[in-house]
Amino acid sequence: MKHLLTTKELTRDEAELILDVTEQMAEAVTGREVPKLPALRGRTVVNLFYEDSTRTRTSFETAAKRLSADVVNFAAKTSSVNKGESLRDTALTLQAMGADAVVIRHPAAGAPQRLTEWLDGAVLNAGDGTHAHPTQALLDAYTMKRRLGGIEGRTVAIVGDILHSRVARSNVWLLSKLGANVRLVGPPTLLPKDIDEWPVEIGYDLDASLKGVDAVMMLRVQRERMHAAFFPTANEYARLYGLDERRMTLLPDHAIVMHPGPMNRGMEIAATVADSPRATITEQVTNGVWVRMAVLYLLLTNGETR
Amino acid sequence: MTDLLIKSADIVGKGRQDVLVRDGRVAEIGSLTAKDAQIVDADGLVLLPGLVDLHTHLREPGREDAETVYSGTRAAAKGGYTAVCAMANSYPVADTAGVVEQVAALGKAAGYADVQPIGAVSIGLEGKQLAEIGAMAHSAAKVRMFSDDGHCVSDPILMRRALEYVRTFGGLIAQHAEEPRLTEGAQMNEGAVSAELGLPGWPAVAEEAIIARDVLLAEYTGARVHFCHVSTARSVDIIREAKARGAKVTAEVCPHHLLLTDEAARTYDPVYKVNPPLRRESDVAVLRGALAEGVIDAVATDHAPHAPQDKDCEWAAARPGMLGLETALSITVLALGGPAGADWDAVAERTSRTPARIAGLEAHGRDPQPGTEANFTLVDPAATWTVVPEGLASLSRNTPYAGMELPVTVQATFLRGRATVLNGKIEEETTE
Repeated sequence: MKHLLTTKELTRDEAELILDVTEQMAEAVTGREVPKLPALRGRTVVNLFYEDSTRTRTSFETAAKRLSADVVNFAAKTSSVNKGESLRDTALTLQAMGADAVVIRHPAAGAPQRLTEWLDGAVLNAGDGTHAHPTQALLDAYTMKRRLGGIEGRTVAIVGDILHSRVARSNVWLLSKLGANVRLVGPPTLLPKDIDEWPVEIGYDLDASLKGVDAVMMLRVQRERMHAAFFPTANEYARLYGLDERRMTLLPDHAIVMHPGPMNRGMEIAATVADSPRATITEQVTNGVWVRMAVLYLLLTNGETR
Repeated sequence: MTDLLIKSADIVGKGRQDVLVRDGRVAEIGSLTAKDAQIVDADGLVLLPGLVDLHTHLREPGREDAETVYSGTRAAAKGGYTAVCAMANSYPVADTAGVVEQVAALGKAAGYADVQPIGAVSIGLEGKQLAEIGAMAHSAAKVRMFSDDGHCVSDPILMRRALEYVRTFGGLIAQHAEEPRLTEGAQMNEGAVSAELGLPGWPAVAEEAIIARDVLLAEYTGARVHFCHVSTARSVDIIREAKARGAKVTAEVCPHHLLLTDEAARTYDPVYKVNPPLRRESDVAVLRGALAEGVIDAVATDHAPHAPQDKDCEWAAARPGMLGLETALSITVLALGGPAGADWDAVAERTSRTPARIAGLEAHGRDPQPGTEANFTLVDPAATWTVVPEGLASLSRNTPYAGMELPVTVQATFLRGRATVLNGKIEEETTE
């Protein structure tokens, strides 16, 4: 693995290796007085964020620092889309500074892949447009593995705005690769066209889709979408596709409720559901750090010094 | 000007003849000898009427860093073209007699191909108010074809009025068929690939809906509509039905829509970003069939040069469009089933005769006959070449065919008897 751009390009072995190393990272650091490993000492990791995302950036920063890497935050407020410095020029600059890894968050799908053409260092996709968010999917998978005892044969419903969700796409490829049954649920306006070839079941009725699931993953829905006629009103969306207390009773007892955050309480998820013991939301955040440590470690050392 | 004798060229694939050219026109055809004539040995070469492009972006005035009339017409000549129709989306827009006359004059001065300006339908291509179509039609540039290409004339009342207006002088509207509300933010063909790549989709129906509407408007007004860069299978169906009813509609297809598919977007390399977007394999097959059948009348390049910074970027930030003039003939031959056993008559029909007829360029698109202008090209049907962006005559490098081996090379191009390309090289002295 030279870069991590999508979960689709990962082999099952690679995905499982990342999850195994994630577990090792969690074990190695948890309970330590100084929660730090020396693995990436002297390496430079650049966080190149073209979108505001304090949570993801902080998670990557924490992960890199726990591996003793030097972290540079390169907050690029403008992109060439907004007539600032071009992505290519920024890449050449980072290359000249000797970045060992670049963690990129960008509003344009494919921007991380373009970056690999201009940089020698490892490129780690921290979310590109509506395309992919591989570390989010990996942390979701790790969370499921911990809470459900495994992924193979488990059923996961991903609910909401699939069309605009890089999290959904990355989870579809990763979870199906790891043997899970994936259900996509949402209004037809928020499902991409022509996805019959995807390894998923598609449903429009949330109540029916919750039967027999081991995990339900609620996606953030932007209220503004109603202005582009994706749905009539926020209320109708919440009524049809929100996970409220009644719907939570339809879930099997062991099933968990996931959300990549940030949440719209009262829209896709009721506050009481978000705060219930079934919800793994804060656990996902913790696991995110371990997963990102594992990925940085594997990309920058090829696992050689382990 | 000395006489020109082209020896033993296979005339449009119909047999070998010698062609004698005097004062820019064909003087004689047969088994000929001539004293003091420039002899061009065309043994093994096919002679085609000079290619005519209905859809070229020459970028001048305004974006001379990407292409100029001079560089664009040199690229045209290199590709076997003797005439190109220059699209109106320059800066300033070709929406006045002054701009179209300037473009025509630049073409004349360059001398590599006849440049027929296309006028804008609406002022500034804004789709609000009709441009001075009459003034452009009566100008020295004699504009007959009008287009807001790059934008659709989406307002149905503006389209209706434009059609009624151009009908008075036998003009036509070349429509960029794209219902803008269905393509807001669109980046590539909407389908399985866009779903996976997370790039907003450009649905086929956005093209088909406008074509269907404009077929009806053409029939209602009795005016001529030409559909630019038709890219979907359903568009072909609609055009076929319209023609069967006798509607005055014609259509063009671009070389890239005859060869490439939306799978290319998986690279996220914007060299494959174009509008309308690359479609599915099944569309490519239907477009090829429609071209062979004649439902699609012509191949047009939509040659769209772009400066490097407009392509060396994120897909969403890149400008749409790709080079086409120097590769169109090769791809047309491929799409029509060649190069082995190529139907040269069909190639001439789709790349030269029919586009010349659509554009009203009477001196072009004619097989050599005594008296016709000597506008033709000699191609080597057995040769192949590899596309090297740096080797192209265009100022820009955004070809999607880099590294591809293509059939058929252009050995010579003649504009009114003067070589613009000879021995596969652009001639540097072209003034008539």
